[in-house]
Amino acid sequence: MESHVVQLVQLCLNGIAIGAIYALVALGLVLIYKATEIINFAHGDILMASAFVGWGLITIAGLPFWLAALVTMLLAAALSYVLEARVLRVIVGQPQFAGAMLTLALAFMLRGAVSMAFGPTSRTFPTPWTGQTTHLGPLVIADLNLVILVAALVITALLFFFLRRTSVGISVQAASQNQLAAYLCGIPVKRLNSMVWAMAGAMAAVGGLLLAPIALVDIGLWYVVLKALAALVLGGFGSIPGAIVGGLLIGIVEQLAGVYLPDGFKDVMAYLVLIGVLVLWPRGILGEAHGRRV
Amino acid sequence: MLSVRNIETWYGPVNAIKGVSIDVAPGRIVAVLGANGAGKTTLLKTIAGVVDPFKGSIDFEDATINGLDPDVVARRGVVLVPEGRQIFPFLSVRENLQMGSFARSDKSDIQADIERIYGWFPRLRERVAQHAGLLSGGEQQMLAIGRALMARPKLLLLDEPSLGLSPLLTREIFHIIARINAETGTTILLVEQNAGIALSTAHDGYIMELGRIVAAGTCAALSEKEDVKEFYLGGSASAGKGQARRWKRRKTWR
Repeated sequence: MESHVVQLVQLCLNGIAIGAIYALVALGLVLIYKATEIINFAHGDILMASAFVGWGLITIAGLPFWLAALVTMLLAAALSYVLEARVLRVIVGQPQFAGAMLTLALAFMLRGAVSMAFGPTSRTFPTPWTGQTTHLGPLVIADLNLVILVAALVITALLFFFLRRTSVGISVQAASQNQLAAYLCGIPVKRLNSMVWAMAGAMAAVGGLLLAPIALVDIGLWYVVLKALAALVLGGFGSIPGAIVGGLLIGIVEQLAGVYLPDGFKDVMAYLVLIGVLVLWPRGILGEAHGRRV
Repeated sequence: MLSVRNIETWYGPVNAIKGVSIDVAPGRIVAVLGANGAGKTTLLKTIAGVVDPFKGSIDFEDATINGLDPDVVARRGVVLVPEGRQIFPFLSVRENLQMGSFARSDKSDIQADIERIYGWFPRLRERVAQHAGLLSGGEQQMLAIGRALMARPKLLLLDEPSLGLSPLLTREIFHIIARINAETGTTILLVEQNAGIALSTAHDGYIMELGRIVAAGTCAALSEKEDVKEFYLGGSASAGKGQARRWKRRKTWR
């Protein structure tokens, strides 16, 4: 294979790995949005805080990676559960911007708490795959990227199975389609909403633990929520497959723009693509073609 | 079975129910009739826990149920079919029915119950795999009633089952309501504007006006009352007195 083709494929693979993380974060946002109609701007900060907690558990407490990951996920899930049950439930029935303001405030508080607890320096933690690569013909793939991809695939598959096949998962869909009717069926909607937040929190923790080895454990990790929001709009807001497609696309575009376009385009290109797509398909790529029937 | 004592319900500054008491005996079909804005829907919503009463109490099987969340009330056996076909539009007909049995502890007979509901509403069987949002209005109403029955309610609350349906479908739905009551012994409390069909289906009736109960009795007795005939059944009580003066007649219950 010619070298520039190899480079292109290589970049796409890296892009898919990063994109898989964006997709995970976007999935968490969609779940929360569908269940509680709130765009959780604190999602990226839960991810960032999870990365710090993971770092602490691995390097300070000396836990093995898997155990640290599990504990971090549980902590993030518990935090999200409590946030929904104790804080966000208070503003149910208020206009949507109240939810936006509240989650933005929570985001800043989390960011402040993390920088007070851990200080502003960036750090890194070892994973079982750091520095290892797999050779596939002329391609060199970092094992970490493969792990990211597999983790994202497994989580997405589990989520689909949960939402489509299990009774509790279908009741989550039901509650998001018609909350009143769900209540009247005896579905405990409030507990379900907290549970959805907890799931999204655990997914954010996975995202943080996978992103940190690539991008350093840093306060700036919360920026990923902006990419995830772009991915959501690109894929079609409120669509779960759309979140995945949008995330992967933004990951790939970013990698390609970083190499083939002049300096500075890497961070802007995703949004340029977003604007282009929205001009062509205002609902996003996989947006629901039909409005909600009342 | 159900006893509502002096409840008052407010929507912000609006006093929708001004002290209502009703009793529902086990096994009966009870109809609450009244014009628009009489507070009928609010009454059902208050019983189901969707809105909380400001005053008064609601007792179901010797336990107070006012102030509980609607999902808790539903699990106690009081299941409301709300006004306007509140189905889950993007779930299949089958999944909608399954959601009805979500809170049931005995999961074994669910398949048999689904079959029984297809027996009452054969049209739903033809549409099992379709998104419920694609059903016609009448089919959605059938689905909403079927879903509520999947919970095996002790008391079924029906809010305007005839809303937006053709006279033929209305008769079909009421026929099935009577059948369900006869076959399963489910107690039914229904709210209706179509007084004629409600009085001929139900056993007991209440008439509500502007947030108060103004008449009560068995349906047979109610249908004989002059006021009810005139104002709800479009009867001929005033025929001999001249149409022009009809509006001057005072309703005796005021």
